[in-house]
Amino acid sequence: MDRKQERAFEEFVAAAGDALLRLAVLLASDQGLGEDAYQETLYRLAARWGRIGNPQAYCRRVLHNVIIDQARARKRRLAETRLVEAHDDVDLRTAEQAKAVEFRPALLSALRTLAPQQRTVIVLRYFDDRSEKEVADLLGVSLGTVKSTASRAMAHLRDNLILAGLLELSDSETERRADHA
Amino acid sequence: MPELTENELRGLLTVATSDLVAPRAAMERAVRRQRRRRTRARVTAVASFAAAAGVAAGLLVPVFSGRATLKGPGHSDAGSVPAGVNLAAYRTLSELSVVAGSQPASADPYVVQAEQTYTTDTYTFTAQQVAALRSEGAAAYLSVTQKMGSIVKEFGAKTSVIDTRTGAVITYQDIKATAGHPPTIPAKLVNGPGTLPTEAMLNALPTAETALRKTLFTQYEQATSDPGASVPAYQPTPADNDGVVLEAEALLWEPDLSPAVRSALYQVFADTPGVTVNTHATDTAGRPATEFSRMDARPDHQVVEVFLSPKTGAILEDANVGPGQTYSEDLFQSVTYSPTIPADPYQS
Repeated sequence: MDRKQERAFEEFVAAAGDALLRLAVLLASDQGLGEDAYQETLYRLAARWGRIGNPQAYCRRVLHNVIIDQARARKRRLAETRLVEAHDDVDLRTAEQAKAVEFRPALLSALRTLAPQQRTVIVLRYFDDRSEKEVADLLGVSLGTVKSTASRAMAHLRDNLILAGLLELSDSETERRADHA
Repeated sequence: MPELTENELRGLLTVATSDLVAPRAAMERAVRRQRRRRTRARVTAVASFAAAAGVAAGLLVPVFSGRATLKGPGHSDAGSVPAGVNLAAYRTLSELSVVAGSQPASADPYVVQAEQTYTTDTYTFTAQQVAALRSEGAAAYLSVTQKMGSIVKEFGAKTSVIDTRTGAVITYQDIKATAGHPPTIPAKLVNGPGTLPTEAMLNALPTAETALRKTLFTQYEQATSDPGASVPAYQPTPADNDGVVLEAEALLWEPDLSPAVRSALYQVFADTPGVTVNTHATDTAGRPATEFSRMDARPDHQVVEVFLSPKTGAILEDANVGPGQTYSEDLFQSVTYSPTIPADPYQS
């Protein structure tokens, strides 16, 4: 990288860094691992800067790969999972912003219950606003797989958020469950 | 209250991460590293061999004419060095295999090495006491104190208390070391039975190299075929040895490993193509070490680096290094046994 390229790289990171870090934290479902993945992505991006047509797309792909590698490495190390702290029930959809940030560890815990591919689909579709086709291309799967994965992951995530006391059941759902009980 | 819609989830994910700000230092590090483009200094195989043996590379053949005697007790093949294997690494690791295999046997499951430092000596037991506790069927808790680090975080410290009967683990973490790094890492983590191999599982591992290699690859295949595991783009095969090396590295730190299995593990590394060695290394704590490393065939070419005590073959440190950076690093400081769960050493 020459000085001009360095400046362009710095400008790109200054503009896209926050969003990339947030994406990394959600994809990893862990703040520390997300930060590690973010740093690693910047290293790889810097090494290839000037030879990449679409840095954003490149970063998404690298983040996904790094996080999959992290998950594989973690399997061989002692778990360092953070404990979910006890909290009063809350509905995050209606919570004020400061409250929602406070519950980030619990939200990340709920995301961690998804399989890595489900998490990537959910985060890219509903946080990063990627199209189904873009997600399918990144993961190397069909459009139909992205649709079905997203649907199953949404249902799973919703149930886990309810279990974690972060979402209230709808009236109809409460009634339906009461009928089943 | 309506169901969770896609838009609501979008809002939730956005708001919950809204306070995260990318540290400028991360970008600066990437630029600095790119400027240097300096690959990690590594002693080449020939240079290392010459340093270790004090001879020119031309003397390789006579030195290795008697190599069969260097093989550890776990080695099942007294034939020639496998094709592609680095001779210096083969020689050094074979020697370490012999040293590790000659350490006290299973009655003394682990002896704290002279160069390792106790930090929780309140709970120290002699090998005889440990053996006695075990023969009485008493619980035996193994505490491993280590420092750790990664490419972003400063070194922290933790003590893992392992229930050797069930594989359950309590981890005490030095949260002071990570102060100001939100969210705060909890001081204590509890992971249930089965988290780590039990003493019985470790004792059941094969002590012959070929059988151990096969077991390690089977373990790797099982680990990567878990329903929850995403299938990585790159899948090691027995031929490229990556799966075997990853599993072997994961086992090396196990303090309850029998000397025979440890010896066989070093012979696995000795017979693996791509392993290089530096006999004049020091670990992060400055302890003299024999370092061996191997780059795998994955697209990002991670390097496994292991530092061993030249005197005993005990592990001092291991690390996974990417292209120019360190993913994770563990520096092992002390190992102690106790019949009860030790108190948190970081809570003063």
